[in-house]
This record gives sequence, C-alpha cells and structure tokens, in this order.
Amino acid sequence: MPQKKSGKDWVSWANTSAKNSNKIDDLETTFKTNVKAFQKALKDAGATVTVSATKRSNKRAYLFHWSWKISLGKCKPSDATKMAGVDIQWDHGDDVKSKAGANEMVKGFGLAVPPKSTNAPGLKSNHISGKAIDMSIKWTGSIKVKKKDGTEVQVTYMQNVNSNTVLHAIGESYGVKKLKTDAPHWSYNGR
Amino acid sequence: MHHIGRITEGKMKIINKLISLSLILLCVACANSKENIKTSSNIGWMHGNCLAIKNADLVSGIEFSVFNLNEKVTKTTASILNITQSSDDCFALLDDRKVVNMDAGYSFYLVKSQNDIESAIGVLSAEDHGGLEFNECTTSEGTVFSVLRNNQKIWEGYYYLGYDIDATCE
Repeated sequence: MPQKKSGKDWVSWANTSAKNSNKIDDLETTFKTNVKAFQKALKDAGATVTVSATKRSNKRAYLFHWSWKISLGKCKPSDATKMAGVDIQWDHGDDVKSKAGANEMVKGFGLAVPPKSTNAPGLKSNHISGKAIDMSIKWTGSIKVKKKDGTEVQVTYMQNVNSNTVLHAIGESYGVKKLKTDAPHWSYNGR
Repeated sequence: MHHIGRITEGKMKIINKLISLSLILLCVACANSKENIKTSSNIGWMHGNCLAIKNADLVSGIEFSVFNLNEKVTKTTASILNITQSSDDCFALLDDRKVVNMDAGYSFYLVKSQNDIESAIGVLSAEDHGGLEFNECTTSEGTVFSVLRNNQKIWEGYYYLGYDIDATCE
C-alpha cells in the first residue's frame, strides 16, 4: 500500500484513528487499580473528579514529534523513523514540500513552536504507557478523605492544586503521585 | 479605684494600638489583593490569534498590547473580536486541551491583529508597561507564561497543551 504524504489529511486521520483516551479502564493494570481506589476515596468524601486524559496514543505522539522536528528544520525528513500502522511519507523528495507538509500538521495539531518551545513533543511518556492521569478534583471547603490505610485526613480545597500537599499525600498513599508543575497531572511516579 | 482606672486606660491604649495595626494590615492585604485581581483580569496568554484571560466581560473593539515572545520580546497591538468556545478560532480549545483550559477559569477571545501572533502575552491595562518582563517556559505538558515587575512575579498563566514535552521551566 503506497504511503500517504505528510499534510493536513494526517491531522484528520489522527483525530479519528489515533485519539487519546480519557477512560480509566485504558490505564495500565496496577495504576488503574490505584487510581480507582483514590477516586473512590475522593468521591466518598464528597469531591467531584473529572478525568481529561489517561492513555495517550503513541501513534499520535509519533505524528506530533516528527511533524514538529521536520517543519522547524530540526532534522531531515529522511531522519524520521517508521511506525507500524502509520504509513506516512515524511520525505516528499523536495525539502520545501516536506517542510510544508509537516507544517500543515504542526498547525493542525496546534503544536507550540520555538523560540520558547525548544523541545519536540515526546515519543514516550507516562501517559503513553498508561501510567498517568490528568484529572481535576474539586470540592467546597474542607472534606475528610480516607488514605489507603483507612485513616481519615481533613483536606481543604485550594484553587492551586499544585500547592495542596495534603491532597498530594493522600494520593501518594494510593500510589497516585502528583506532578507539581502541571495542575491536572498525577502518575505512578510523580513525573 | 484610681488603680483600676489606670489599668483599664492602659488596656484601652493597647486595644486601640492593636486595632490600628490590624487596620493597616488589612489595608495592605486589600491593596495586594486588588493588585492580584487587576492583573488577573487584565493580563492573558495567547497562542495564535486567541487570547485566554480570566475576564469574561471583554467587548468587541477593545484594543490591547501584545508582547510577542520571540527571540526578543516585541510589542504590537490587537483588538478583541468576539468571545469564542470554538477550536476553529483557538488552539487552546482543541479537543485534547479544552476541558482543562476552560476549567482553569479562562475565557477565550478571537482577536484581530495586523501581525502574526504565535506565542504572546496580552495586556489590557493602559498603564506604562516599562519595567515589565515577559517570560515563557514549558512544563511536562504545558506552557507557563509570567510577567515580572522589578523581579517580582505579578502574574502567571498556565496553558495546558495536552501532549508530553520535556520541561524547560526551572
């Protein structure tokens, strides 16, 4: 089957065939168990939990990564690796056209670009391996949440979840660790 | 009786001083919180021709300063067109990002500009912007925008990108 050249059609393809998940059931087995237990404790205490991302598509990440690098001249089109299930032709045989095709994808995916964004979208991550979850946790005032060992902890709502170390400690008791730089992000190792 | 009167007078002086001190502290706190409120409703971040700002009351036609975060920060101007919830107008409202960015309390506005905007900070207040420093760095899945005055951070905004990148923020 002939490969399809890079361009905006791949954005449409990714948005139907390489979507990210927001389902807890798509998480890696151990982490899923831990997340479900943490979520239950939060909900039993009266918090509302809204999940925005769990397992991210490795195919989608692949398209993000190479379109960014090629469109910005960070690599040659021929440097792009292949990926099973993604029959994309990065090299159009003409550097200008190759960059233009990749740039259509950068725009279509809304990727952040230099000078301040200096790193390409990652090919690997805790989200891609199913060991991270992005979720918002909200309640009013103070609630009592059970840690994994059953002890109750009073935790007060803070607008800035990154600063709520009491909440972080509760999550950690379940093996769900907060990344303190990105508000919705929790993972098996805090990264 | 006079002894009791002196004690009461002494206590009243202490109470008065405590009240004065409390009022001073309250005024300082109010001033600071007013500054926080002012900057959070007057400063926002931009990705393309879309301004994300914690202010739902902007009307069409309002002009504002755009500090473009290029190799060197450059200042241009733009004006508000309309509030939007469409990813057609706004990268920050793409499917993988919309929920988190909206949940953070931002309103999103399509803007009109004669210059291309990539990554920028929009400032609505008419005050002198001299002495302000504009910064941007990346976290594991987002971008942090910040404004400093005299090396003190007066505003910060987080833009959730919904994909994984290596962090550059310290």
